[in-house]
Amino acid sequence: MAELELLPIPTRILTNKDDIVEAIVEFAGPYIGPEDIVCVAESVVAITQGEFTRPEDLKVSWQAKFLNRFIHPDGSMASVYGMQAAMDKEGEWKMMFAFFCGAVAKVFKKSGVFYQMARTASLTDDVTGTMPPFDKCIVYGPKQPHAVADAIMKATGAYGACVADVNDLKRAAILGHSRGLKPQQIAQILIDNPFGNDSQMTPIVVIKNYASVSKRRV
Amino acid sequence: MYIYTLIDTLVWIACIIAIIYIAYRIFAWRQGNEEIVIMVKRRTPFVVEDISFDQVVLSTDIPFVNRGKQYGTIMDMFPRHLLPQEQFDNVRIQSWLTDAKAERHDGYWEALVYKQRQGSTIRLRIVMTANSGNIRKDLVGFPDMPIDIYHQVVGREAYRISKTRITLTAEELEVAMRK
Repeated sequence: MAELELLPIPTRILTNKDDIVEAIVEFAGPYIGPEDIVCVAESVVAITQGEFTRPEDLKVSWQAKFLNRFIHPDGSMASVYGMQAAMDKEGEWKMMFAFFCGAVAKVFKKSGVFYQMARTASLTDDVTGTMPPFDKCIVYGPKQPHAVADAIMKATGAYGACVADVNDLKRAAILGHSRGLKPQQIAQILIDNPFGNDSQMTPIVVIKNYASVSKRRV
Repeated sequence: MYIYTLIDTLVWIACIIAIIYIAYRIFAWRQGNEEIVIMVKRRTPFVVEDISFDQVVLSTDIPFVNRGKQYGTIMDMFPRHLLPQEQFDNVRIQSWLTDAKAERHDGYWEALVYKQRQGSTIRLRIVMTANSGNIRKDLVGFPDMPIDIYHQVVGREAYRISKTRITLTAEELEVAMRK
């Protein structure tokens, strides 16, 4: 009886000169079957889309200097450059507004409001967030992750595809997925971070036999 | 009458903004920033790692630590040796460094976050190649050579690029070569 199996796929370093769908077909194509789900790390999708910047290229605003002081040091927004990068996408005043809403919500013991309102803030990885040579860059979230997942599914003939944001802190989120998939279930499958966030160079993970196992569970 | 009310209101607004600004500055001052310090006084003496007839590889370990109140990210780090040809022209020199706890062999510094009181060790390597083909002969008369370690660090504030100097002295080279 087929069981779920996570198969990390090694690749070369993918850059903004690569097409993520073509890269997946090239590196993971032979391992993907019609029962499988193809998962790809969101930061690599963003890099192939050119969604990154260097801190040296950012002009830091007073809003970024002000807000970053109030963010927990583990967060990407704790640095002025991470904050400014997100502000460049979302807008300085929108981020300020989101922050104050978040602060007010915290008084009423509701957390996460800032990141819900300023979505870029939650998807941006500060320097060190990805592997070399992009460790010196700030990487945004990917553009149109659902469309990317659909394109991967069509190109590979897989059961489904998703763009996942997973880290070693046991946090997993599905940013985009092809139709019919249950994002929370897939996030749970990926919770142990089979991608690796350091230099493992495995930005693609194939969840083998997903279709048959999920049918059996139903 | 209205003009006095308006001035009064503006003064109040200015005072509130000033108080908020001062409170923020005090908060930022208390919060502090990173303080990555390269501890050159605690570096190990240069040792010969490898030697051939025409080339010698020397290395030294230099600890560093984040003494600041905030996380510090070393975005980049590289050495710059300073030995002009006018001063000494017998050898060709290359220098590179790596994190001794996660050695790389490409001279690339992988950006890494260091929490408060956390640090690591820089392993600095100097490769000297003899122009004449005989390294021992060509190193006779080698002067003191400063080496600047450039590092780009970011914490809560804007990044800074600093340099810290160590010196490979003639005496230190002589002792290393003798061993």
